[in-house]
Amino acid sequence: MKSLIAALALSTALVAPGLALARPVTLTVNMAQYGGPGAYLAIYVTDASGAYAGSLWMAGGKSKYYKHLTDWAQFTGGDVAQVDGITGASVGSGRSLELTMDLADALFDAGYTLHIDAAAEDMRDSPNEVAVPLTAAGAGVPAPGRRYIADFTYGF
Amino acid sequence: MKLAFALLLMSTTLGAGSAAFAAGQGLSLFPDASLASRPAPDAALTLIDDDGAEGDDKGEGGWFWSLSGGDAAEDDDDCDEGDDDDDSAARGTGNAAKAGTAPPPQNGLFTNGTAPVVKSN
Repeated sequence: MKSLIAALALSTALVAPGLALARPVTLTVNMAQYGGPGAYLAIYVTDASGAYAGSLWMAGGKSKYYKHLTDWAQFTGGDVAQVDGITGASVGSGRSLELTMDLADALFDAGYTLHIDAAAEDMRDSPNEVAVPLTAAGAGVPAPGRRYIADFTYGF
Repeated sequence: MKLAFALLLMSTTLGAGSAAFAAGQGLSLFPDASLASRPAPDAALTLIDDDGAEGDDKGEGGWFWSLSGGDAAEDDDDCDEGDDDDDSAARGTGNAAKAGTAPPPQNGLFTNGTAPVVKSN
């Protein structure tokens, strides 16, 4: 019995920090009816000082278009490695994109801001289309886009 | 005497002229003979015409190239696509790995080893 309790305590001790450090977050992007081809979206985070902290998602598979996500490209130098493994298809007019990912707890209520750059072929680039501070209070509150995105919401 | 001299001079002039004419006629016969051994003039003209056309094409191509280059400078999408393709191929960078084909980047934002789940309608 003692060994069982010890094993349970040990496994809890090992798992608990992981749970405390990560939280499943759902990002939802609803696209506007902009009437063009599928849009490229770069979803990335800056820290409290405005410096690039990392990318969360890239919608759009062809890296040759990434330069049109101008702010993201400026932060990263267009480095494809920044979005290796977190890249999917572009998102069409009027459609929605829902991403669920385990994000570090430290991203919330610590001055981080989530940004979305958008671009579509033969249409104008839209850097910083959405910029929302990552806070617990901001969860579930839709943030409007400027050109291609109707609204963006993150939730726990 | 003067009359005889004039007649002599005239006959000499006519003789020399006819001789020169005859020589000219004779010279003109040689090229005819050599032309007969050459390819038909039409074929040669066709080739010359083709050469000229090629030159024209190159000229137009260059003109269009520079024109399209100017357009490309105004329209980044059209021009740079090709350039980027070439560049990507040259650099061997290519496109980013799709989700599910590689682990997410170790950028401190994600829990290690977890990949995002994506839904799109």
